[in-house]
Amino acid sequence: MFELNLIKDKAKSRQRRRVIFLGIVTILFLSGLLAIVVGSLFWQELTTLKKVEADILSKKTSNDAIELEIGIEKPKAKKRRNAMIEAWTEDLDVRQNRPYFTPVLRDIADHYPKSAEFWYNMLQVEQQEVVATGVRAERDPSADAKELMGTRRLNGTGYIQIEQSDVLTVSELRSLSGRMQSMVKLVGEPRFELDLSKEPNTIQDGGRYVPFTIQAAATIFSGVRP
Amino acid sequence: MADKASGDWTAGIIAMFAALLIGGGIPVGLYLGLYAPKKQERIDAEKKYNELVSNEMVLLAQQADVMKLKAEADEMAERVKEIEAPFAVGSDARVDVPAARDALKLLAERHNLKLLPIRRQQAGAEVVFPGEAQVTFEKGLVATKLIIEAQATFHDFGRFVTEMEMLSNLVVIPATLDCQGDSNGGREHLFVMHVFVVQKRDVEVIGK
Repeated sequence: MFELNLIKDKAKSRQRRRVIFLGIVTILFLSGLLAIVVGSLFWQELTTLKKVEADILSKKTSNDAIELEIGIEKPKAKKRRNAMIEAWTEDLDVRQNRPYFTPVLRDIADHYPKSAEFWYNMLQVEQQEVVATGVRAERDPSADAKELMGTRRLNGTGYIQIEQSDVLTVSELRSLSGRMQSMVKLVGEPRFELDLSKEPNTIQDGGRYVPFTIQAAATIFSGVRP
Repeated sequence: MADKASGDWTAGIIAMFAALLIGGGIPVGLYLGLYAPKKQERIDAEKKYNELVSNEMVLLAQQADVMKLKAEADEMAERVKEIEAPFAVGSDARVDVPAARDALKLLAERHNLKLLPIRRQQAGAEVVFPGEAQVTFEKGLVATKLIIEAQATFHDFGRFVTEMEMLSNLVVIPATLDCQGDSNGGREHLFVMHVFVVQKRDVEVIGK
């Protein structure tokens, strides 16, 4: 009986050790399994991170390249676009507002006083100088162009054969200058002046030859196509 | 015997507890020590990547603006070429506009403009010749001077000037005119006129 109990105790004891061993093995197995899961998750993160870091590097490189290109190209493009607009505006201004001499010549040819013979000896159309302004009063580099596009001054001399009174002739010359409307746009309203003091003493064909001058200088100008 | 069994269980439970602690500590340690920081690192990297993507969107929009500016510049270049169609082509060799000068010479011939008497004995004298001067406008437009010296009737010269100013293939700006009447009372007078012929720009170099 005693031996039988001893055998039973040994068996129970073996059983307990087996249970404990299996318990420990199971715990270690599960924890190993868990460690593998965590390790695989870590690996996944590691590979994802590497991929993201590679993407970041490539994106940063491409962004830097684009930024550099924009930094160079944008000011250039803006400068060229603005210069083109300025060039076009200037071209348009030159084409639309350039001065014409035809109105002046046409007025000279078309308008004569009715009561007297009339000759021009000399006619000059000159540019009016652009006056430098400012403290240093330096000449504007584009002053020549402004003068070219600006108003003109007209000077002329001639003779008029006065057959009637001076008063009537002066009045007729005033009305003549009023009719020279086309000229006004370029050189302003012309003014005739008789120089009676230079009247020659000789009287021919019942008339008196009196020198006159014509002058005009416009302050406002706009080009008018003939 | 009961004491021995109880002792075995106690030792076993302690061993299992220790196994649990050691075995559980490894995954927990791995989780906290490796996985969690790497995950945070990945989240930060993704955040940074997203920032770069949105930054790229901004840059692409700016790049589109640049393309738009370039397209506008090209469009304006076409308009400049169009508006400058009647402008003359300058000479590379000297300050001159040969084609425009030839056109004005033909026009002068057609309107009976003759050489000035003092020029008639000069070899190679012409009614229209280069003035050796240029005027540069504020935004780069250049006009080249030509001088017209002629003997003609007022009406012939007037018609010449009118036709010159109305030319469709040239833009001529008259600068000055000096007309001296015939001192012998004849019909033909002396005209000296300075004109500027507007030149085409080199569109390719504008704003560059």
